[in-house]
Amino acid sequence: MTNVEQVDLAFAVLGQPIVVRAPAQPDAWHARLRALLAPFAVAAAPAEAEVIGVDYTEADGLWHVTYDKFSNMIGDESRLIQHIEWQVFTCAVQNAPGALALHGGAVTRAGRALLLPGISGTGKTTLSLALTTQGWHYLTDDIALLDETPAGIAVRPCARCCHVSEASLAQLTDRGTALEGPIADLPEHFHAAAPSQAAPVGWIVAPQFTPDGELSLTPLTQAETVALLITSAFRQNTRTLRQQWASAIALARQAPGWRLTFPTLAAGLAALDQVTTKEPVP
Amino acid sequence: MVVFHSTFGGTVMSAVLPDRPLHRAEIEMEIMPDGSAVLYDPRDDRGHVLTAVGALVWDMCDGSQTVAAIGAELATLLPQVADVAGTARELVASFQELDLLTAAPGEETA
Repeated sequence: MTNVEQVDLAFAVLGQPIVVRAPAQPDAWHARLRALLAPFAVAAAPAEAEVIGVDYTEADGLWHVTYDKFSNMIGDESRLIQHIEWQVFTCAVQNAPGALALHGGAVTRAGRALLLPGISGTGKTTLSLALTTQGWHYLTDDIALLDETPAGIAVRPCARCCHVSEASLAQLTDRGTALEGPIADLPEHFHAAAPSQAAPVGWIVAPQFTPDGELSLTPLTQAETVALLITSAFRQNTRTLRQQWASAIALARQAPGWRLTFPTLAAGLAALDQVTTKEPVP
Repeated sequence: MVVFHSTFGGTVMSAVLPDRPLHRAEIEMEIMPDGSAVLYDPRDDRGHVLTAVGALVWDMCDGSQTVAAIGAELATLLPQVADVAGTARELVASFQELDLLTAAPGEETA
């Protein structure tokens, strides 16, 4: 669209400046997006910020979200803000410098992090949040950016909104997990407690929630742990595949890996307690 | 994105094995402290997970030994493992099926 007044909604996510450039009107969704991305809002972004473009076409009533040559058409404002939020994080992860960016949750206790790599639906969000009632501090539930530090490869905190299903929410509420929300009138979006400080990885556990299955906790070889990490990794523009590979090998040397299949939250937490009572690799 | 194959071993098709298996030179192997290993094939960005025995067999696929000799050497090294020669054959067949081997000098390509 041309000759339409635009506004920039500026964010800094994982250290990456990102602007959502959108029509000033209609603006009902601006406040909702700001609420969804509240921990990352900044007053203004530098000129070199990545730009996610949003246009509105009155003729078909559709929003057009454009980034990196790709465009998506969306009709519903709730879906619009969820899509933009996802796009903001995709952009941030792709461009953030870091040893490895993983799809995974993480918590920390006594200076060591428990990393829970896994795709959506494996239970990593529910486990990450529930662990905060057992002496762990929250780091992230979905995007784990890892940095090389003098103390080893460490998980960076990420305050992205958690996606919590109704069933998980009931269990987390029962356990007394602190959650703020729902955010932006999205019934499954919540902010967790403020994330803790980055911590080197001490344990790696790939969870898989299987309500009809049996509890199993299987140690992985270090090579299997490398495979787990690489298959959970996001593509990063700042890292070659070879560099990601090297980081995964270094991380598998640093921390033992396990595969956890759990039928209930209580069983999953008990198994994680069993793993993490072992002394982590210093 | 790197794609990983599962750990080598298990049922393998009845392939005609190379006389003296030789792994492709550009494939990188990283042996982990626990003896397991990962192979990285830069040709197609594929990764492969090896057990400690698999890593040993991979290392022996240097074009100097027949499959039978690899099996015999493995049996000497690992006398406690049952049918280790059969395991060696299965591993070499897996390597060949995944196109990780090349023709040894003087040997025709399949």
